[in-house]
Amino acid sequence: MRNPSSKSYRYFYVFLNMTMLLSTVVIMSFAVTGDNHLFMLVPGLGTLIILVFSTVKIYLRTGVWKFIHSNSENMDERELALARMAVQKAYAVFTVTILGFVMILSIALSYDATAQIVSKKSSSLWIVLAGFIYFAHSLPAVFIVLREKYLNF
Amino acid sequence: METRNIYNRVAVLRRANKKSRKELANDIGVNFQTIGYLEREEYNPSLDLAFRISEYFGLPVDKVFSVEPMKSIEQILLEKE
Repeated sequence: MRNPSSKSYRYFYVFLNMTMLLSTVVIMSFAVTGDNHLFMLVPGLGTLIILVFSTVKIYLRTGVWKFIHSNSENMDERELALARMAVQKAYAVFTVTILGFVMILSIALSYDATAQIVSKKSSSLWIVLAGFIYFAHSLPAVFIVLREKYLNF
Repeated sequence: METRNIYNRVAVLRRANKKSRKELANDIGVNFQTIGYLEREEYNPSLDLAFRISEYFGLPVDKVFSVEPMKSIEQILLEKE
């Protein structure tokens, strides 16, 4: 699985990255809203470190991150088609995810207990927002990593 | 619309001209990976790119690209005999 062009390698790191993103957001949100800040911060920092490690390994070292955020004027026709596919899929997935999140949040807020926590500890929403910003930025790279066999941009 | 696979002789011509993928890519103005994709016939080039490559090798476009599998030099030589 050490070969970056192998399917299992690419899928593993994307799965690890997305799982760690979700874990970091959930754990850090609990750390901010709960009483045991330090108790929750330790696993939160652990997942954050793995998140950063997997980001460096699969997106930064392969050049995918730079590629997807580069100016389209510097891309050739194949790269433009690839970037278009990635952005198109990312846009669709991100829209559905945001809609799902808003729906779940609106249902959760209809319960008094949740509404009280959110209103008292609105800082947890900043963590969720930060998670979504990273998610939006990494999604096009996700589709490139999943599709492209040769990750050498 | 279902697209057809475009076959080509880019790899053979590049080797005959003693060019690396990077050199050819730089001369044509594409990423070196795109040359790899073309050579493996995993990517269909635009008309503009097909003409650029053909002009680079000094050949008509139909000698470099085809919608049917290209004959190898051995096949062509055997047919000529």
